[in-house]
Amino acid sequence: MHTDNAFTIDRPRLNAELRVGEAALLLGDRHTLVSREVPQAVLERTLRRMDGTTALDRIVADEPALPRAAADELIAALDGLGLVDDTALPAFRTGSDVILELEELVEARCETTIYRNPFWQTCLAAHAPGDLPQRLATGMVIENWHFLFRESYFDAPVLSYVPNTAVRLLLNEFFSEEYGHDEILLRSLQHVGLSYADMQDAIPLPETMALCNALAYWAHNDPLFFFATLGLLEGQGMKEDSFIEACTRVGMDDAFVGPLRTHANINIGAGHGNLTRLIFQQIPAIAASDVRRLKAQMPLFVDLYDAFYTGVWRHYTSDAPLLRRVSEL
Amino acid sequence: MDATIAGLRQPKFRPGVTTAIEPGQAVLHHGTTRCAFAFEPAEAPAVARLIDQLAAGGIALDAMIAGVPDIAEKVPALLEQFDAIRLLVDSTPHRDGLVSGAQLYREIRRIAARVTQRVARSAFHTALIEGRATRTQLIGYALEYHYIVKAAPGLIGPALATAMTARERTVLQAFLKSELGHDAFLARALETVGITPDHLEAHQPLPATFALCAALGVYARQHPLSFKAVLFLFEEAQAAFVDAFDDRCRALGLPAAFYLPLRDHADLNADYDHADISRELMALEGVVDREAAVVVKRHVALMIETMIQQEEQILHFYAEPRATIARIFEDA
Repeated sequence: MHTDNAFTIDRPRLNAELRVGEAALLLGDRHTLVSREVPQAVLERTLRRMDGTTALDRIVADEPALPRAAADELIAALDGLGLVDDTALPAFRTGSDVILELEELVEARCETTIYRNPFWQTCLAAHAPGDLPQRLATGMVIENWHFLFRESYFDAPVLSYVPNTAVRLLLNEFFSEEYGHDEILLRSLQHVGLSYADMQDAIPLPETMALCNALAYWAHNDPLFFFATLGLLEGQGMKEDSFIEACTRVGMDDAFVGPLRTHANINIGAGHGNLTRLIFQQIPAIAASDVRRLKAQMPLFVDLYDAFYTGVWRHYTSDAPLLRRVSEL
Repeated sequence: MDATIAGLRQPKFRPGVTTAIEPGQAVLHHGTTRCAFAFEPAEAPAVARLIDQLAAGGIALDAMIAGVPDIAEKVPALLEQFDAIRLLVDSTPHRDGLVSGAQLYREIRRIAARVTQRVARSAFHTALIEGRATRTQLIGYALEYHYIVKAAPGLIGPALATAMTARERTVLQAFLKSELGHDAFLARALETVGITPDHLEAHQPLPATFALCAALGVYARQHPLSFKAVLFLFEEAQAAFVDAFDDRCRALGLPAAFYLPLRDHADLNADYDHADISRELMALEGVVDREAAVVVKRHVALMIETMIQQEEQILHFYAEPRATIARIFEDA
């Protein structure tokens, strides 16, 4: 029997009992195999080696009397009759292994981007009043609010993550802890004179929207990659938030800094920085082609995140109006 | 969630409710629904006033209760009963800012013109005209353009499921069909300047290029109205730009097989009259409320700003000659 769409089999495993008859080999109780060009002894030896532990290539190499074409034909016939399985797996790696490599890529890209970003340099160097202008700090909170206000846009698509229950539960737990954080940041904004109505009229910076849309796009279309971005976004390995520490050092009002700290402490307390690791630890296998894609895209994500901070720096150190408003378009 | 009555800020009898105050009881009718409640003689004026208030509408719940002190304690339960048998609506008009889809599109075109005027210095176009755009930048432009064209069917696809009328389905399907296969067309053009299919597949877009794709794809799924409203930005014929691109390619000795397909693709868009697709789709929209209109305007402005950023990023990133022009990070 020949099927046109037979798959190739790399590591065959005969799934029927093989018995030797008088003039033919018997497979299970319904099939007989009559050897023509290949001696029956060779055929029998070949079939006995099809135990799922030996590659077909190896079997063929060890049997000079079994031409490759005959082996392929044999496999195709057995496959067509449903008598053979393949124990070979496409190349893959475990999630917990892959995430470490992705983290290294993030780290390497951050070295030349986010870690050198003028916004973060300013935060790290700020010690005295004036080192971190209030307008810049307010701007950072405005853009963060825009981001958190849209959090459901990019979290929602993965709340239904069907392939893996443990991952889905982690994400639902995470979302329930994140939900409403824009309201917390709004309290800081209200202290500096911005109302909810102002924010409803506000336009985020294009870089902020780019980040939100990129995450939503990945959440919808490439959830694995979306999961891989959460570590950096949620401050993996961070014990404190450098921005909030800078606001505190330069003596900004408690009413402004307090809500920021509340938000940050919820994330740190709930271990959100660890979420990416926890998710990937639950993923048994990622195909090599997927790993390749995840790695290839990672610099793009870091660049989008870096652009977010660059946007904050550019707009809120300029003399443009603090809020960009739809009503003023 | 709060009790149902809490949702009514200014309760009012729904149209068609009739009321009659008889000695000792009030009777309310709506269609086949009849409701009667008894009251003490001394409460009659307050009951009449409450019914007047509910008939007129426009009074907040607290004020309504304060207006009938004699029966204040009984009002909440009474209103809950009215609400339960579907006699009440909210009298607050929610009509502020409602517009038709076609009207919203007019406003969007004006906003687009203003935003473009304010922020758009077409940096790439200027670089073409002034003869500053380099070979790498021209190829980079084509690479980024190819990325969008390659992604387009996947970005547009989800919108098909949101088309709820025959006309909209027809328009969106024709649009999707007109976008299929163009990536192969541009891939061949890029091959003539040494971009192999492998490099093209591995190419990672610039952040702004990806932002444009993500926005379009996400709006198609999450906010179809925004998707429809921004399409025209991608489809406007840019004859002057295409001419300048060709001129610069010729000046730099790039093969015609590289730049002509880009022109053909632009002509294709003009032929199909893609530029009107937003107008056509928006005209099919019913009424749009204020918040939805604000969201759309915000998204249009951001899309224009991102397009400007994309040109700047192309000029910046592809400024230096690169051994491998495509952006490939797999060995990073």
